[in-house]
Amino acid sequence: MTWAELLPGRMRPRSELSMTRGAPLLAALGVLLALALPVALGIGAVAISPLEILAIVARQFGMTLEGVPVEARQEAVLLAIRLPRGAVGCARRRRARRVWGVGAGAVPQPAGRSGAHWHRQWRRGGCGGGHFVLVRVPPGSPSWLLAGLLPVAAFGGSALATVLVYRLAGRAAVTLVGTLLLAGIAVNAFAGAGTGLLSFVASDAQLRALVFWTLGSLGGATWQGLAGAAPCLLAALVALPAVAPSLNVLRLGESEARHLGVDVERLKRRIIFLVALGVGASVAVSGVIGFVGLVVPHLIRLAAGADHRIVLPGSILLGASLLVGADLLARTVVAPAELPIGIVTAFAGAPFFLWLLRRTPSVAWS
Amino acid sequence: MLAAYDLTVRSGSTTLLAGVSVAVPPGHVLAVVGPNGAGKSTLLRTLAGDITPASGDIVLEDRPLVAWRTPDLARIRAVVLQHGRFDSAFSALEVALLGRAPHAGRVSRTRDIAIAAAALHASDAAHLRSRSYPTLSAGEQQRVQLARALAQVWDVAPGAPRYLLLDEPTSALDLAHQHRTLQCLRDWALRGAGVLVVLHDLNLAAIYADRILVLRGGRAVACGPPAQVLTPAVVESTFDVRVALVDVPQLGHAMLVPHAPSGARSVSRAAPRGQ
Repeated sequence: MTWAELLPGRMRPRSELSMTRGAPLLAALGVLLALALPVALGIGAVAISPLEILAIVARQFGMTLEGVPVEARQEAVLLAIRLPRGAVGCARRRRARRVWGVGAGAVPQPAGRSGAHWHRQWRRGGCGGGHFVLVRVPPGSPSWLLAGLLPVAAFGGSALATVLVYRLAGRAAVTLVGTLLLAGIAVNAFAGAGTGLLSFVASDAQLRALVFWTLGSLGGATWQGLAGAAPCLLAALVALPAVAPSLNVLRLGESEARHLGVDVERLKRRIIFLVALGVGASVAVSGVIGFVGLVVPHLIRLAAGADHRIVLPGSILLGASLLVGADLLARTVVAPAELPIGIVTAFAGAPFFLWLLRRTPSVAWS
Repeated sequence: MLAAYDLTVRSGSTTLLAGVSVAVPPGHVLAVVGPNGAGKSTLLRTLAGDITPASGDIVLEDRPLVAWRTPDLARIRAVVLQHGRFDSAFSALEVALLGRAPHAGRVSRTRDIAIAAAALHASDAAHLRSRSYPTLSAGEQQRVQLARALAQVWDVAPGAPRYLLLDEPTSALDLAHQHRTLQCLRDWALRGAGVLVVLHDLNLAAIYADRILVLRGGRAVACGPPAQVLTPAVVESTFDVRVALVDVPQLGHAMLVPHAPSGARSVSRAAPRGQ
């Protein structure tokens, strides 16, 4: 089943190329994000209409929109609270989404299925790094220090975990999937123990910050935090599309990719670096937001085929839209309190994914 | 010319290949046959550069194989390994297009698609082009993989060499497609390609190969034109099976026919049981 088959017969595209199938999908996802963002920005304790959002943004650049009265309160809420959240929401999902798509492609072909495992790996490592910063940075430090250190530490953690697993499993002449998984489990356990230890020594206030960070939230989004993560996210964003064609070839297998002219070792090094960079930065800004990363690339693949040139940008767009939507839910359903967004995504996402899994032939998932 | 001299390949304390020499000149089909575990795939993967030999030299077009840059190599030589686990939801056309990856940026996209389509046609998979690869049967997937290899070396500069290395490309094919595939390789050899193909069917090898290399236990037992190599004596000592070389006048060539082991149901069309 593909999204195209949901359309009435005559509207179904006939093309056998993902690119042709995927282009309308990408356009639709772009529109979706463009619609979701102003709607999510406007809803909340202080209501702001799309026109008012426009007026406020315009004012920041010294322009005024005639006939659109804007309350100072609205302006403050939008600029200080909702815009950064929205921006982080987009950026974060963007990263993780795309990164996951790449990650799955990068794993040696037989291990492709274990992409989820790698994702966990990166996340857990990043988590450890983040824990370390949250616990170790003295409470009185200026917030910009924390904002700057978190992405670095999370990146360091995820990179370390990834390289460790890769090295451990890659010692044999052939990287065996079983070895890879076992090494991953061991490193995961070790990182888990590390984060556990840090939680143990943390003060009550730190512990609370840790718990919320682990559950994931855009609530802590600030322009400063975004500024710390943005360079990492941008770098990965710019560098990753270039490897999409090579990733397609890599799906054939490592030897096959080499015979098709791909420098496989260099490609893998590059991907691991970029993925660690992206995941580390996004985890640092918003904590651990589960599930969206697992599902979104699969949805895109289901809709438009396995071509990474579609799967990567498609996952970014859809992931960003979903996260902005989930954040809207998270801060409105139990207002004025706020649910951790990780809970929202997993609660809503898991049943949907299982439903999809049941009704879809397994071949469409690769 | 693709040639290897005195190749020895070891894995731990096991010797997989011992002093094997082989040559694949342009315009020739070389078939490699032998029992399971004889080292056929090891030889192919060593010639492809996947396995580094413990000793021996591999030369491609007068240059050592290791001196070739990966992208340059990919433009003149295609490799299809034994049936892989590739199961991405690409269409057959997209899989064939992956073979055009080494030429990205040098050839227009339209031309690439035309070549991929033509390659699918050549491997008799044109009707599968919009089918999702994982939904194809094993034999159909094998033909699409062949198309991918053909697309990779579809057009080279006039006079430039090209090589195809194929590991059991007929293992999942029906009778008609076994012959079609080998005829296709034969045609490519006629147009100047050097073809190395690992086969199990000795009669197929005898019909379509210019030369046959027989391996057993990592050693070359015999190498030469089919008529010289595939004698009952060589086949019996290599495969531990009694065979007869039967001339088939209707076909114009001889066939190797194995003796049924004692205990097997005897098949006699001339005198059905009960008469």
